[in-house]
Amino acid sequence: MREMITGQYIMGDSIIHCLDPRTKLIGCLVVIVVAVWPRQTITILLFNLAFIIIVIYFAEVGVGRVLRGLRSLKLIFLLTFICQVFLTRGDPLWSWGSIVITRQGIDLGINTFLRLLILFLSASLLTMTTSTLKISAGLESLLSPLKYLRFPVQQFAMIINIALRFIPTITEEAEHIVRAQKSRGAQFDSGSLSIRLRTVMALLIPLLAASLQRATDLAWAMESRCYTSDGQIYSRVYKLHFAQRDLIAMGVISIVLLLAIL
Amino acid sequence: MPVIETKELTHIYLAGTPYEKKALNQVSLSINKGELFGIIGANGSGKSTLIQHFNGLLTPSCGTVRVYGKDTANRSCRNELWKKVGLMFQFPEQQLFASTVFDELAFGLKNMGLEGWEIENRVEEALLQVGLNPKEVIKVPPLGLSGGARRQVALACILAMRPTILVLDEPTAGVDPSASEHILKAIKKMQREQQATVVMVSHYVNDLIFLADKLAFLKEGRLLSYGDKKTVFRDMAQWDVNDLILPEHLKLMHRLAAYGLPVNTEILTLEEAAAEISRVMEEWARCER
Amino acid sequence: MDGRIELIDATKEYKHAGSPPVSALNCVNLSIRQDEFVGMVGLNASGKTTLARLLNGLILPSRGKVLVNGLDTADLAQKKEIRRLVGMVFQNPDNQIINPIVEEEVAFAAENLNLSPAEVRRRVDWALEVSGLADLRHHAPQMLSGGQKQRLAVAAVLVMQPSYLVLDEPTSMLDEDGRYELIKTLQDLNRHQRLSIIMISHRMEEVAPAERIIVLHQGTVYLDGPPAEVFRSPRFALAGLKPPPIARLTNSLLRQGHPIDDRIVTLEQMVEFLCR
Repeated sequence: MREMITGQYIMGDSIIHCLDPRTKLIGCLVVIVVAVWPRQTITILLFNLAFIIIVIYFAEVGVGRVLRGLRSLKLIFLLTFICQVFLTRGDPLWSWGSIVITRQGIDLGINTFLRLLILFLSASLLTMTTSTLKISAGLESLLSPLKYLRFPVQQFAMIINIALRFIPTITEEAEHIVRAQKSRGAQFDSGSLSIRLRTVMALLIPLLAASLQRATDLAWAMESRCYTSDGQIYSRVYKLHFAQRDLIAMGVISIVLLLAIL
Repeated sequence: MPVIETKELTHIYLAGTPYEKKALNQVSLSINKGELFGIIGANGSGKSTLIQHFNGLLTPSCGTVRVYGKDTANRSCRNELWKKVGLMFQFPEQQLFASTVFDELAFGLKNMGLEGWEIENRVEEALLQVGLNPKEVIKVPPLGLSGGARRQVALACILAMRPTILVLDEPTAGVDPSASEHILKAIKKMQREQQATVVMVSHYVNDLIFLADKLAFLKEGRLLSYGDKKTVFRDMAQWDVNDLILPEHLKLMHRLAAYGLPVNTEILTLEEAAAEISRVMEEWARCER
Repeated sequence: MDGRIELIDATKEYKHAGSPPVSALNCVNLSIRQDEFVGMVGLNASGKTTLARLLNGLILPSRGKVLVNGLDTADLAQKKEIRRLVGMVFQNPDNQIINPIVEEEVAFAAENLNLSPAEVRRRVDWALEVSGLADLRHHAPQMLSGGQKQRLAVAAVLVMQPSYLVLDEPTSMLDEDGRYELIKTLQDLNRHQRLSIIMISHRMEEVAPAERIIVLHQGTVYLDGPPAEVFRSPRFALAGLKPPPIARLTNSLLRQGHPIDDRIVTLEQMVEFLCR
C-alpha cells in the first residue's frame, strides 16, 4: 500500500485534464525554457509563477496536495537560497565579520528559488493531470517528425512506455525494500551522512539487481511474442486529436512566451 | 503471558484521500510466549498490514497494539522493537545487497551495535541454523546464489539478530518443496531451542497444520476466526467462498460431508482422512454383505 | 503437417570458461500432441526451464533437433511462425507486462504479427473474453492481482492464436485465489479451444488433473505417462518428488484392500467416485 507520491496522477475532468497531452507537454516545455533562460528578471519569473498557479487552480488537483509536495524539497530550496545569498559578490547590504550579504546575492537567491519552484510545479502539474499512457502517446506524436532524421522514434516510444509502466511497480518495490531494511535496523533518516549513504546502498543495490533481472525477463517475454526491434506500426488505444480548448490553450501559452521574450 | 496483544486494531491507509482503504478492522488477538501462531488469509485480507504493527513499522489508526506490554504508539518503544521482533517479509531475497554473505548478515548486527567476534559467531550460528554451510557460503556474493539459498540467507539475516519474536510473511512462497522443508525445519528448531515466539503468515495451510499451536483467519481486514486449529478450520469452511485455502484432504472431507457421507470433518492430517474414508468404505462393504 | 512438438535427441550444454561444459539437458526425446494437457515436474536444476525454452525456440539445442509442427526451431526463417505457434508464459507476473494498459498489452503480440487493426481488435476482444479479463481492459497492470496478471500474460499470448501454450511455473508467485483462477482458465482453454497446455510446476496437486505427466531428473526424461502411473512408480520418489495428497490417499486405501479406482489423483475424481 502506498502513501501519495509527489506528482502522482490524480483522476479528474478539469479543463486541464481534458487538454491534449501534446498541448500540455508543449506548455510545460515553454514554461521550463522561460524559467531556465539565463538573465531572466524576477518580474518575468513571478509572472510565470502566477500563470502556473492559475493553471493549478483550473486543474482542480488541490492546492494542499501541491504544497505538501513542495515540503519534501524544502531542503533543496533552502540550501540553494543560502548559497546564493552568502556567496555572491556585489554591493554589500549587511555584513558581520567576513560574512557578507549583497543585494545581488538576495536577487540571485530569489531568482534561483523561483526557477526551481517553477520547474517543480510545472512538472508536477503535467504528471498530476496527464496519465502515463497519454504522456507517452503525446511524446511519441511530437517526436514522430524525427524519424526522418533516422531517430528511432518507435523504439524510443517503447522505452518511455516501459519506463512509465514500471514507475509504480518500482516505487512499490522500493517501499517494500525500505520496510525490509528498516526491520533490520537500517536508518534512512539518520543524522550521520556516512550511515545514510550506507543505508541508501541497501536500497539502491537491490533495486538495481531487480531491474536487471526484470530487463532479462522482459526480453524473453517480448521475444516470445514476436517482437523484433525493426520498427513496426504501433497502433494506440488513444487516438490523439486537438480540440478547440487546445487551440485556446496554445494561444495562451504563446502569449506567455512572447511576453517573456520581449 | 501474552507477548503481543492487539485490541480493536484498525488501520486505514491514505485516510482522507479518494484512495482510502481500511486494511484492518477491529482486530483483537493475543499471542503467548513460545507459541507458533499462524495467520491465514488471502491477498487483501490485511495480514501483511497486521504483522507490520508487531515490529513497529506501522502505528494503528485506532485501537492499540502492545508488544511485551508496551504500547507501540510510543515512538521510543517503536524504534527499539526491531531488535526484539525479527520480521521477514515475503520474497526476502529481494532485499539482499551486500558483496558477501557475511556482510549481508553483519548489516543487521552492526545496526544493533555489535562488533568483531560477536558478529562472526552469530553469523556462523545463523547460517548453520538455516541449513547452510558457513565455510561454503560466507565469502560468496548473496546475489549469486540460487533462489532457495538466497531465501535461506535472508532468513539467517533475521535469525542472527536473535529476536525473541520471529514474524514471517509467507516464508515458503515461491520455493520448491525441498528448500521449503529446510526453512520450516529451521523455524521449528529455533522455536523449540530458543523458546522464541513465532508468528507465521501463510496461505499454505498444509505448513501450518503441523507447525501451528494457534491460528487466526483474516478476511478483508476482519478477524473471522481465532483459536485452536480445529475450531478455525471449521469456521473457515463456512466462510471460504471457493473452499480454496483449505488443504486438499480437508476440502475433500467437507465435500464428502456436503454429499451426506458420514465423515468427520474435524480431522487435520492426511492419515486421519484416509482412516475416515477407510471406515466409511468398510461400512459400505459390510452393508453389501 | 502433424500437430506435434518433437524433441529429437535434444541436448543443451552450457560452457563455462575453465571448466567442463555443464549439461542442462541430455539426449531428450519427446513428442507432445497438439491437444494434450501435459504437466512437467522435477526438482530445481532438473532441466525443466531449459526444456521449456527449447520448445518455442528461445534457445536452441547444442545437439539434436526441436520440431514444431514439422518446423525446425534452428531455422531462422521460421522463427516468427514457431513463436506464434508456441506461446509462453513465465513465472514472474510483473516481468512479462510491458504496457501501462491491459488492452494494449494484449494487442502487442497481434501488432507484432502485422495484422490489420480490425483483426487486432477482434483478437484482443476474444483473448480478453476467454481469459475472463473483459471488464479490466482499461485498467493499469499494477491494479491487478497476481492471478489477474498471469491471466493477462495468457491473454497476451492467446492473441497470436497459438496451438501450444507453455507455462513455466506460472503459479509459484501466486496465492490460492490466483492459482485456482489460472488453472481453471487453462483447463477451459484445453477443453474448449483445443489448445495444448504444457505446464511446469513443483506443486503436484496442480499437475494431477493433466492427462500426462513428464518427470525430469538431472536433464533426462525420467518418467512419462498418465498421472496415476507416474505418482505410483517407485522412480517418482527417486526423482526427489512426493505425490499429491489425493494420490497418496488413494494409494493408502488401495494398500488396505479397498476397491478404489487406482486412477484417482485429484479431489474431483475422489469426490465423484465416493459419491456416485
